[in-house]
Amino acid sequence: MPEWGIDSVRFSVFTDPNFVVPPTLWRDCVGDEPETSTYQRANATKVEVGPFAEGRLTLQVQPMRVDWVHEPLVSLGQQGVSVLGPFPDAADPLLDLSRRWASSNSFPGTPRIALGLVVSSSTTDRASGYRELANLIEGVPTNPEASDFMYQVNIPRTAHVDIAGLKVNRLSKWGVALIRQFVVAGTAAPTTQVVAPDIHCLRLELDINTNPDFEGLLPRRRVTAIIDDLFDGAKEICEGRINVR
Amino acid sequence: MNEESNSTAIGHSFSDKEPLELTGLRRSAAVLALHILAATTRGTQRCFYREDTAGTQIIEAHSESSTQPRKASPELQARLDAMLEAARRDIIEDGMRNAITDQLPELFLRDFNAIIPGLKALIDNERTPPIVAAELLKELGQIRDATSHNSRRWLLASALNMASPFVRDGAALGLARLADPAAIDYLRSAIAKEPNAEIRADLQLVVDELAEEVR
Repeated sequence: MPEWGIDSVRFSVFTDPNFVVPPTLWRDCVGDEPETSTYQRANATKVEVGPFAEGRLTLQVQPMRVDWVHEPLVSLGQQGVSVLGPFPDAADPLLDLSRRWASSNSFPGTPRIALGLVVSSSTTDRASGYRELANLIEGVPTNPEASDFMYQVNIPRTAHVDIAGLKVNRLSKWGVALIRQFVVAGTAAPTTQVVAPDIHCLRLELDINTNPDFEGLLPRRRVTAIIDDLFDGAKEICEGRINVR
Repeated sequence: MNEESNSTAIGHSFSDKEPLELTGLRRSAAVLALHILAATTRGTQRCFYREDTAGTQIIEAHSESSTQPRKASPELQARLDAMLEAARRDIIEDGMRNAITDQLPELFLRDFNAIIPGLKALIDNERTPPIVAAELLKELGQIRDATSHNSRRWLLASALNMASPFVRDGAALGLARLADPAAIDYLRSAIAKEPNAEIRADLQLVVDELAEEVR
């Protein structure tokens, strides 16, 4: 299996209609104030951003859902892919925050939760990326001119947490990506300047979530166990323990 | 992700970076952009497109197992605004067609996950005439679509807490049309705090109807 680095981690909670998000949610979960806080009236969405575990944390509160996203900081001219760190350990800060929140009084009643991860692994070029992908998934093109290949599949399973009717979706999206850093300068006639060598990488987007047709709310005391179960679902894919072909 | 870089669809940019001043470059403004592009020589052509690729949208809109946050496309948002504007001019009466009954089902079914925040904002907005908000809610209950069912129930149940009695009544009617007994608990908790006797009676009627369906 490739050595995956984590590009981003997301914890999403679908809320009960009667839940009112406390204005102090960031402080309650992170321990200090966010750097920025904005409210977009047109879509009733609040976005707060601040530093978190050598990266950047975003809290987005919108109708029906609350999302926490942990991403790395990106610096100009940086060599290599920006990642939080190696999978699975680099997911720990957000997982710890999620578990703490789930155990607190500010956690909403929820019918559905999700963990989203984007992981990547450096490769030489597009062709070698496709060759590596062919060891993991089906249908990778062999034509050397092929590009724009993408593979998406959901392999659901019953939740390991014993709750009647609870399932875990393991949605994965595979591809080869090119990362290019460049500066766009000027306003009247903008020009671009590439500031670092191109990087190719295998890219895997994971969306591990509980089933949308689950009836009622998830038992509050079991939510941390469900978070762990979702992360197990991510590991099952990243470590090649399930067949995604 | 800009994987379909040979697509001509409007595409999502990974760049969400703040504008960054680069003093050393003696230029008026500069933006640092980190883009993840498809492994193709034509990837740079699409660096500045802002929205999701059509391909990505199709996949995600129809993927029930995806929980990726979604944003309404500018076109969808514009159509939602146009519908609201037309509804403001319409005479809204029970049983009569209007801009909402004509347009909302199609807009909602195109990408309900993306449109929910905008709809919720419209319903919550004090500048939206209550009769229009109520009509939106009634129509949401009318749409027959299993995929968006839970989302519509969520919108309707949350509207039971609104300040306007018109809107609360619209939500109750929407829930009656949705005919989902899973809404009974929300209706019962709304009855317990409903100050308006007429609406309380309406809510109770809906509870009785839904309870009848369970039997």
